[in-house]
Amino acid sequence: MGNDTSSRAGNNYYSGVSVVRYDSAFTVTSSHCDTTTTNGDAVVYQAMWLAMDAAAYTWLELGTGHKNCSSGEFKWWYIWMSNPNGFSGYLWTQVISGSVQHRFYITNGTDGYWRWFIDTTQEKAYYWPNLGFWLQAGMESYDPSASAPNHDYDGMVHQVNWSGWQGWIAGANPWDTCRALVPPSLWCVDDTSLSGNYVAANRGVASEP
Amino acid sequence: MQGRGTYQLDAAFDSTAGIVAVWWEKLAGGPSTGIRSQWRDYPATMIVTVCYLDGQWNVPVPRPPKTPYTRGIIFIDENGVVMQGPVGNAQTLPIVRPTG
Repeated sequence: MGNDTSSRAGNNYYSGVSVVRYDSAFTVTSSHCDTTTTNGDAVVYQAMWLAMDAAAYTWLELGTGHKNCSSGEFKWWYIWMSNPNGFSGYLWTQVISGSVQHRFYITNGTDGYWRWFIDTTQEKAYYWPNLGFWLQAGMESYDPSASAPNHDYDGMVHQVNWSGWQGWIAGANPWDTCRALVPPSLWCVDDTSLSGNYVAANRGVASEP
Repeated sequence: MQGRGTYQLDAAFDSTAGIVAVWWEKLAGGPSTGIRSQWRDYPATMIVTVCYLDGQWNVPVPRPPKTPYTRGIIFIDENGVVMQGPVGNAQTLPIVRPTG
């Protein structure tokens, strides 16, 4: 992995990101559907990202993928990574059921390892002794007709330079609670405004800084 | 795969879970990263087919990638279990036979 110190430029060295949310039920309408964890446009992702460079060509990710096939909803937890070696892909997947609430978080130890947790279970670890440039959490889909119930992203906290958990920076992002609204497009908004978090059709996030 | 359009199967190699695990761990950064393949949870001698497919790979990204993901790997074990492997393009994911 090397020691790419460029990722330490700036004032925000994110060493952790955490979100509490439900694995909500979604509707995905594409006819390309199968009960596997493969990627594609018939998927809605509830995800959070930690960019490891300013352009986010490299990143760490933890999320839930959703498909809605004729056999019913199919969903899975996943850990994804794109690293400077050119690797981009899942590090881990696990098929799940139910729509209960979980805490999802990624955190860096001072030993240089990134660790992915769901609730209190460490699902994966990876040695990469750099910290993150910026954070993002929300939903993403390539399905133009994807839909989902309104649901909240709560407990959005982060760590900077191995600090304790703290709220997302108010000036950069006021959404400690981010509410995702779908359809026709994916948005991530606070309770009172649609401004600021719409990114593009089928993509809505809250991010900082 | 869930993408629109078509995928072209470029290559397929029969391998084993043990070889695929070691090979995948190299792709993901090597032993120094401490990464462990989920294929280690399966019998090392179990047959796994490694398929290279070219097409549009829509993956969860924080920003648009520098270059589109036009190639992906799918693993299929002898019981029909499908796992998605890494994605990339012809440069970052050249077609090679997995080696342990």
